[in-house]
Amino acid sequence: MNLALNLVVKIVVSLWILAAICYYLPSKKQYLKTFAVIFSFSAIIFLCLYIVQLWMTLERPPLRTKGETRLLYATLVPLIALIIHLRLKTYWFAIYGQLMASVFLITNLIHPDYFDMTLMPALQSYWFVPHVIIYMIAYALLASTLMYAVRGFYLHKKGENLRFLLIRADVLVYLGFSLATFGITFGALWAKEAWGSYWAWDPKETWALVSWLCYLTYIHFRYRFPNKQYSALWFLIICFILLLIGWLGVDYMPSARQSMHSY
Amino acid sequence: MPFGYAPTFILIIGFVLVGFALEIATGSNGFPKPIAPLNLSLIVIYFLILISLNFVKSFRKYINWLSSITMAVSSAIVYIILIAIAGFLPQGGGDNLLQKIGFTHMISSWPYVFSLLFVCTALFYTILKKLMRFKVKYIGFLLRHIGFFIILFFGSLSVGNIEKYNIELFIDSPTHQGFYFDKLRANEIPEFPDQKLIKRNVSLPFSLEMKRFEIDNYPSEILFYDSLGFPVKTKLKKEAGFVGIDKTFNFKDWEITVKKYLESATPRKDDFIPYEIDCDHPAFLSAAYLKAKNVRTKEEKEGWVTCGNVRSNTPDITRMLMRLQYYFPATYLDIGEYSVTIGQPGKKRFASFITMQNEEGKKIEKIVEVNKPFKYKSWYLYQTNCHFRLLAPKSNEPLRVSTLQAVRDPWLKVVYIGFFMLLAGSIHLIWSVRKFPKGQKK
Repeated sequence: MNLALNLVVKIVVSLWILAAICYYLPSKKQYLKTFAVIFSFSAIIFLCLYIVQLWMTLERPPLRTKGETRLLYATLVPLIALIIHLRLKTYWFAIYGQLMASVFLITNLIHPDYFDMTLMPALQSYWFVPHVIIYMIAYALLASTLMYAVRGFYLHKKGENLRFLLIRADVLVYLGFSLATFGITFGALWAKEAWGSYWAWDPKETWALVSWLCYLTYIHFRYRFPNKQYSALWFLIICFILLLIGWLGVDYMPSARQSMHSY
Repeated sequence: MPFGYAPTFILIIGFVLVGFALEIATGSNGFPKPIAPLNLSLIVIYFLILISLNFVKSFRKYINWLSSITMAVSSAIVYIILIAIAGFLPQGGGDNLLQKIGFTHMISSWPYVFSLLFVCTALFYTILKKLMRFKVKYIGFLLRHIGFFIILFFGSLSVGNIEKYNIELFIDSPTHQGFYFDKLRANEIPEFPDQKLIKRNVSLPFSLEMKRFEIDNYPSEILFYDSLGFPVKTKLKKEAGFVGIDKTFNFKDWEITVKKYLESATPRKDDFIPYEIDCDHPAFLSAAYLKAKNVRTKEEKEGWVTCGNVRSNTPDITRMLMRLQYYFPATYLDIGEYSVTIGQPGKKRFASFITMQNEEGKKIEKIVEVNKPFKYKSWYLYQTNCHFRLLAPKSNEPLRVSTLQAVRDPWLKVVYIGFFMLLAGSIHLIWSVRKFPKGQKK
């Protein structure tokens, strides 16, 4: 069977809407919550199948263009959100994740900037898949911290203490930051093999470093000021904005014409 | 601790401002590249000063401040701002105010060096403090911090020692000459007005001879254009963008079938015949014979289409000469208000088959291709580029040029140790997450 993107998006988003309805139905029936998990999980399976199909038709890993990374991201964010939901019983978390992923999927419907089958020689490396996948998992984890930040502002307004929320966000920052360290280092080792230097201050590299350093500063800030909860929320938002700039925004900067990473 | 956040920030920003002033005062040349033995002496002096200060009792409170999180956060934020500027503005040129204060060569500018020095010093004293009260549980912390320190400090100081030379190879023509582009020195006469860079040759400790060059390409992709000549995006590429014999593409009301496909072709009267040449050769042309049928009106059209052969990866002047000699335009098949053609194929792989002869006269045969460098002693040889060149008017055939890059970085192993320490520390960080308080289940 050949899955078409718009069909996949329709099915996936519908499943997520169904899941959200099941979560929030004013009923105490436990099986509704189980249904919600099944719907959410099925949507992720659909996306995985679509990625596998894309890999086979393109005859290369679908990780090259922005559209392709958005697709992977839209699969990983709800997956991580679902795992966190199952571990911590935070129902809202999975919904936020799916909402974020839906935005990315719909962006892909409007701008399907993928499907180009060529892979230029520099990308034909065994580093390609681990570098991109690790980065996407890291981005998905760090995106989850944004969901905590948004939730945090809401709870702060209600006058609730954010201690436990921020501890959970910190766990995700630690995991995401560590994986981003792997991503950036794998990128450096790959660059040495492909271009002769492990670091060339390419705008994409520079922005990856900026967001990495910003999360690093966040970790130190939280360690030093565990009680500055409101500032920590803002810190998370800024970190995520810098991360998005590094991922999607570099192409629109004056420095972009010097980037070897434009795709 | 002598200073809180505000004074720490003010102090670092003060140094950065001094850096900007130094940039203007030194004619915007940036921090001089630390070349050996200068960088070695700088490292020794830096470590000696920092370690001896550690034993000066009256300086202890300043060391506590330098190794504090206050310093770590403040210096990191200033550092982040400076590199964000480097990531935002194009680097390496310009002749305006931004260039005068170092914004266009941020990574080698004085303010950057000052801010880096603060980050490194903070890291150094943090590491020293932990080492002096070493406990096994500090291992992860130390791996991360030492790893990052090594990468930042030694990576930055090694810049002046990295040797990077381009080598142009022609078939069966051995050479031991590399070249690089350098800034024009004050006593040198420019060859043309506004010349900033000059090509300098170097003799390499080995000679290279290219025996053969191979280049593979992807097939062409089917392309559609509207009546104004703008490309029409289709969803066709998803299933199969590549042109192949007997492949059918559906576009609007049209069904387009590829009857013949010549990946490398040459025109012969109204026809095309196969012509085996490399895909980056100026005469390279892909051609396809397409048959289009309108499923609604049953209208039929057929004919040859080609991608044309104006390539963009050769230098301008050469391209101009080549165009005159080889120029063949792209051709289209009109289908109603649209037209269809095939695109220029992309490069898939290119490789130089080289023979290296070292100083002892020993010959080594190797294939160098992108992502597969050839390592010889401390040198790495990379395949960086390839093109055709018309060297002299009397040469009828364009000359195949393969560009390799020879790179030697004596500090590479040191920096790699830093990378692996940082990775080991990150694994520890992932592991440490289990110690976090579980929190309320809600």
